[in-house]
Amino acid sequence: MTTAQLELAKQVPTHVLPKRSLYRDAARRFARNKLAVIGLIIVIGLLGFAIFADDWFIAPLLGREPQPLIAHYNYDEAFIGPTGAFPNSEFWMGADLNGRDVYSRIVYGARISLSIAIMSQLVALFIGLPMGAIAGWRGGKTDFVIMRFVDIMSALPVLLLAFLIMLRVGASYWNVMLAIAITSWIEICRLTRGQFFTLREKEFVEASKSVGAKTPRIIISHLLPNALAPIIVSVTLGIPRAIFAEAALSFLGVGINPPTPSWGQMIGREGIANMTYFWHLALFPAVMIALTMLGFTLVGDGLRDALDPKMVEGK
Amino acid sequence: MTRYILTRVAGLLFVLLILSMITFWLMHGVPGGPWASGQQLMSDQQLAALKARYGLDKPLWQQYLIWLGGVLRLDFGMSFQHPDESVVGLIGRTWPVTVHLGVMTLLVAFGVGIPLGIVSAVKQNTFVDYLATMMSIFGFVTPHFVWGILFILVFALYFKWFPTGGWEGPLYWVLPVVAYAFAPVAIVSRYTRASVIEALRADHVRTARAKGLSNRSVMSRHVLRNAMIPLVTVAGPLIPDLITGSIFIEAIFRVPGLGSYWVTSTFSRDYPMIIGLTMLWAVLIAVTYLLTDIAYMFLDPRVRIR
Repeated sequence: MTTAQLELAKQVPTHVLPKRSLYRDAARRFARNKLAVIGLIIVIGLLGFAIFADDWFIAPLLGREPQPLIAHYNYDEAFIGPTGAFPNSEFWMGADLNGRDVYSRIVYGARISLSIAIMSQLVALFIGLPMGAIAGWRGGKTDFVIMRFVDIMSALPVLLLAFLIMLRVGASYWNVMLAIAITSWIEICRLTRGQFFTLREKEFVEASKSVGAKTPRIIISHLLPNALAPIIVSVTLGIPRAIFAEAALSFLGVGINPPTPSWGQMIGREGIANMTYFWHLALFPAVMIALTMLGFTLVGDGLRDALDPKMVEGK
Repeated sequence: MTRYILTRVAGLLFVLLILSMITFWLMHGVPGGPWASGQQLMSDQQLAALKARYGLDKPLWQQYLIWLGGVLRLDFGMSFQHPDESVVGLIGRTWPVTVHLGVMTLLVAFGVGIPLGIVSAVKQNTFVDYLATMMSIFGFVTPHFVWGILFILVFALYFKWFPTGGWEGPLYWVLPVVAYAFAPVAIVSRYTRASVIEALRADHVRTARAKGLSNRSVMSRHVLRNAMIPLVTVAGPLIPDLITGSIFIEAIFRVPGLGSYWVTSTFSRDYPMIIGLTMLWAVLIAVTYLLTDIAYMFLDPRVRIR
């Protein structure tokens, strides 16, 4: 064979290789990462807690109030146990000062914590992605205005801003979710802008422009898929931060209103003040917050490693 | 260079101005005024007189301009909670405690984080490295108030080695500082590890080894010096965070610092105090970011403006 033929032969296998998408590759790499899998198991377990805390999904069909499933009691059922009872075989995590079962409140707390965290990140995505896309695609004055706005928003610590917003709008489930969303779209916006900025200069964008593709089409079918991986990672890693923010706001008394349980609120209202004697009131919610954040962070880190195109094998 | 700094400072002032407007608007919209808590019995006339004294009867934009005028003379007004103390005086009295806590935490963060990062970079993929990695994942992920609670339960209540809270002497400092330092230690050690590994692979390090320099002098002259530059970007955001203090650490360990005032002033609608503290926060953050960028230009000659 001549050298030219050899060169040609080298190129053949890449065409013969079965076509694999980035996401299928990523899934394989993710499954091989032990820490990420542990994180995923934690997350799935917590989602199970949140979804199956009570039978809300069949209760309306049966025409009754939801009844506890994984939880033992309803979260606001008071004086079912001796006030402040320590953990025992009936009350796994003890009872709080109103005689409510701490274990049941922890289970319902997972629902509050996870739903707020996930929804707030989705809302943040719906604000940050279009803003970043516009800034990155248009550049110039549009970019300047959006980025100055982003500068102003990021001049304060996230928690401080969320706290001020909560003070103004008042404590409630939806307000907490929105306050966290408003303070967490900034990073997604910055990231999307950066991605679009570099991507719009690439040859394939120019190519599709030259064949007459319209702007929305270029953005949706060329820029977005290429920019998506880091954005997915950012949203996943935003979830533990949102869990922390919800816990922190509820801890300070401007988050979730009692009697609805939230882990941060359980620590802030009864936990800290009674820690010297009723240690279980602060310990269990604290451990749950840490565990949840650990799970989502491991999943996020795993996703980042898995989605990094520099790690694609067979190249 | 001068021009770059001037533009940055101008931009910073603009950001602070807008931010003060947003804060002013947010806090004045909070339901309930400073004297509406129902604790004091006041007639309507007394309330009106009190409001007039603090200028709360004027339209919001006038109040804002009056406040802004005061700020230009470095007068942030009088605290509502402590009518005999100015905001500046109150911050001056309580901030040193918070700064003390923050500086000790910073020392721990760098004093532990950098050696930990170097060791796990040099002994990459060994047991030591994995242990350090696990420690930093836990340190980074677990919120400091969770560490605080665990430490109090274990070291103060179970072993009784340390007091549960307060701020009276070195023994009282240990738990809050360690709980507060966990996350920064993790961040610093991860960054140190990454940048030392990168520096170890550089060509000039191989050259240094090839010409027979001892391991020690390769490490100190060629590896560590280059590896420390990226740390400036990590240190920047850490500093304002740590010296403005953590509301939670201060609440859990009953540290009489700035954080506790933030909470009480928001709940009692102490407007001058809220906006004073918010602006203190924002200024510190903005200034450290600016200083970080400038320091970066000095340390790394490759960084040029535009």
